[in-house]
Amino acid sequence: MKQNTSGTPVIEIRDLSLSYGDSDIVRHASLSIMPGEIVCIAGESGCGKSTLLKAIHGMDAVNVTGGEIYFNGSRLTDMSRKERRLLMGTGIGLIPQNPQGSFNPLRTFEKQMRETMSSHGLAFDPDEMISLMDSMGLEDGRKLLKSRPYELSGGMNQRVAIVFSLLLKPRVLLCDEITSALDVTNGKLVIDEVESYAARSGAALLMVTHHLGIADRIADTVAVMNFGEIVEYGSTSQVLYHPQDSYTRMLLEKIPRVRREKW
Amino acid sequence: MKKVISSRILQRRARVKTTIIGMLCILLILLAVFADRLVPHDPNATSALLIRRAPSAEYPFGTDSFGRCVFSRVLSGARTTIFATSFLVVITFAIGTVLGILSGYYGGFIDGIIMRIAELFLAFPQMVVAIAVAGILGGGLRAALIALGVTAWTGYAKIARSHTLSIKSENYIAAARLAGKKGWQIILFHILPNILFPLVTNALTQIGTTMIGISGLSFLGLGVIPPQAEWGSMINESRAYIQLAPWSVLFPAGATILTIMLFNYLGDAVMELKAAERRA
Amino acid sequence: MKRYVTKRLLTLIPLLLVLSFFSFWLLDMAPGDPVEKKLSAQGIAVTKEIIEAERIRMGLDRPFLVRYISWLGSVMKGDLGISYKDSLPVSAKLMNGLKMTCRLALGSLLLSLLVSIPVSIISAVRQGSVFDHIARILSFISNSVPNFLISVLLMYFLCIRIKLFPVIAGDSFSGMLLPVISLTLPMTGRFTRQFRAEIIEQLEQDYVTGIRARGVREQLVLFNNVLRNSLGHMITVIGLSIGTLMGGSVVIETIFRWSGIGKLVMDSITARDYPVIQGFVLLMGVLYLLIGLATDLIFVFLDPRVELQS
Repeated sequence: MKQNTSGTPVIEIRDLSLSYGDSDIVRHASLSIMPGEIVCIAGESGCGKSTLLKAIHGMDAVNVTGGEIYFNGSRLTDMSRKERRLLMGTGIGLIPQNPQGSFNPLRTFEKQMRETMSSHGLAFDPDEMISLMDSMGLEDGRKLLKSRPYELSGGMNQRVAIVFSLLLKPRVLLCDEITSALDVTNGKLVIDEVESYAARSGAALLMVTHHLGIADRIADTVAVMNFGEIVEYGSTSQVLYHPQDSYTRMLLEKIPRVRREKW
Repeated sequence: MKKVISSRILQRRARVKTTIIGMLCILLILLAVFADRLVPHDPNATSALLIRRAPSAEYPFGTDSFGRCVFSRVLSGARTTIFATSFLVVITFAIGTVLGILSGYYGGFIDGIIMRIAELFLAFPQMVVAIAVAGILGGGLRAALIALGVTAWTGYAKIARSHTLSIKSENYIAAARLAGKKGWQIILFHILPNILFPLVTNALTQIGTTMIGISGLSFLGLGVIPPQAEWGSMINESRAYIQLAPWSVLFPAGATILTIMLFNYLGDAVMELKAAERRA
Repeated sequence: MKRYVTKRLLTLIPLLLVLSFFSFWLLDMAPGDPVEKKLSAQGIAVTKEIIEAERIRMGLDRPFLVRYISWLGSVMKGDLGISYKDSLPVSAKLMNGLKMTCRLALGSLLLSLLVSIPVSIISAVRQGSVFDHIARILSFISNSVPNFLISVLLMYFLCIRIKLFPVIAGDSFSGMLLPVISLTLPMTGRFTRQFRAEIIEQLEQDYVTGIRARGVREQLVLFNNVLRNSLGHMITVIGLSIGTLMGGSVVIETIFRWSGIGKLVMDSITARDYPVIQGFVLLMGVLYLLIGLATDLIFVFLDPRVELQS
């Protein structure tokens, strides 16, 4: 069902099962993402889509109870701690659902970005960051660099978090409901910026959203999750316009889709 | 992969631990309550013939330099220490809780006054004030208790106030008020039961601190006045001849350490139980 | 920030007034006639005429508030009165004692921090490890043993049983060691417990996950973020423990006959030398208030969110 079968998938998961504490969250999920591909995972809250994202990214709290995750052909569980850490951010980027939680509230953005870049052995270029912030509707970037996360609103923090993720130039970017704290205008700006980053750099995007309008507009592939299982997985047009699974059909009816023109 | 222990097992473990420690503490309190009947000898009876005897079957902890039975004095001292501590903890608990709830519930002027007073008492070093007050007013257990009590209530007041504030905006309080319940009824039946737990936890941690304070002041001769038995003053009396009769120091010392540890451990166990219950 | 500092400085004024009033009132509350107390402390046989003359000389015929204000005036100039016992200025006696006490207290504080900071960091980072368990047990025990007991037990076992140290503390290293350990142990236990709890609380915050998610080096996560954010609470804990340290040094100095301010006040209590006790309360109270001020200001500097809340 993959659109592009040439080359190695940047992310491939095989028969993955995940648990969180005592309860199973994801069961036997398989998915593969090619460079440049945009994949959306849709589903209602609690279906396991965020957990799946966290597992791919490599968060400690998620337990892998079965199956494998590959990045560029190498198995994540074979990697050393340091290799895993170096992969986070630059290999596999994550824009979390709650971006305020991704910063130390008390330290300036500049210090935190510098620290992040130096951890990956990269140089920090303030001007690059300022221009990227500008393209996302964050004005006066020089002042923003010197401000601390607690001084800004949730929406602003979210956009700075996206800037952070893009500056690390990940090969695949995981986005967890990235527009939830934003209004329509800024939501569109952010989606555009993330999409254009993917187009520019050839990076893949894996987005979790319950907003099927976004999926319709930018995704190549859509996976629908229900109760921890991927119930339907295929090209966007096929899943959204000719759904096979009864749950997908129900989901499409339940969520009023934003028309293509609006986006 | 890290092994995950089920939160329910952790909860059961914490419950068992708390119960065991709690029962040991109750046993200790019972020992103190019935100390008068349990002592083999009169704790204050001196004897010139029995000075500094080593521990024996008759005098299990030996005798001190006045020929008094150390075992009886340790038991009797338990009574002094535990009674004085419980008294102080209960009083400061009550005063602090009442003031804290009033402060949080009514707010405004009352809140301002009570919190300023609390800040005032917290601004001074407790033991320094206690030493000075006891030193100038001539010591005695009462002076020591007052000196330790003037700062101890502030902790309860702060906890009661912050929890009352967060509970006040709950719907059931508004419902009770709409139902025509009076202020004191709401405080007594709706607020107090819901904020009791953090206050009790604070009380448990205060027990150890209070015991250390009382025995410390008595050790300096500013608390319990001899010949009344109290562990701190017993240790002070006997330390001059520790070489000749180490038992007269080591037994009350052991009793002090054991008691404080037991109550501190109870406080820790209760907090652990609370954390485990929140997770489960 | 400026507004917070001004506000905090202004709250200091009523506290200082209350402290001074309390100290003055304390002397007034002392049982017995003050003139008789003074003269008998100096070993002078008292007659009615002597008492009357001395009363007027001491200004005791004036009303309480007038006496308080004139006393406060001389206190501001650094005059804390004259010791009943040896007629030396109280301020000089206290300063001499304070110097000795500072050596003991600051030495203990430093040692406590040197031990508790690394131990609590390792304990919090390796939560549940063998190291953590041992550290928790030891800090629990040392937190539960009153410092006077530690000194008595140390003295018995180290000075008397194995004769390792002199019984009376001298200004030498070995003479200072036991009093310092007696003060240090309970403080270290308390610090380790509270620092560990604070570091764990910070480690559990969302931002730590977020920073790790960017692949930031674990060392930087810990030192630049977790410890940096714990610092404010740690400094508050240290500031509050100074009060306990002041009380503790009275006990320890008495036991080891260390001629600091604590032993001075205990000797003065025995000798009924009230002006010295009064000066002690005042001096310790002022020091404690200033330390409280300093820790509050450092806290706001480290975590400006506090300023927004207040």
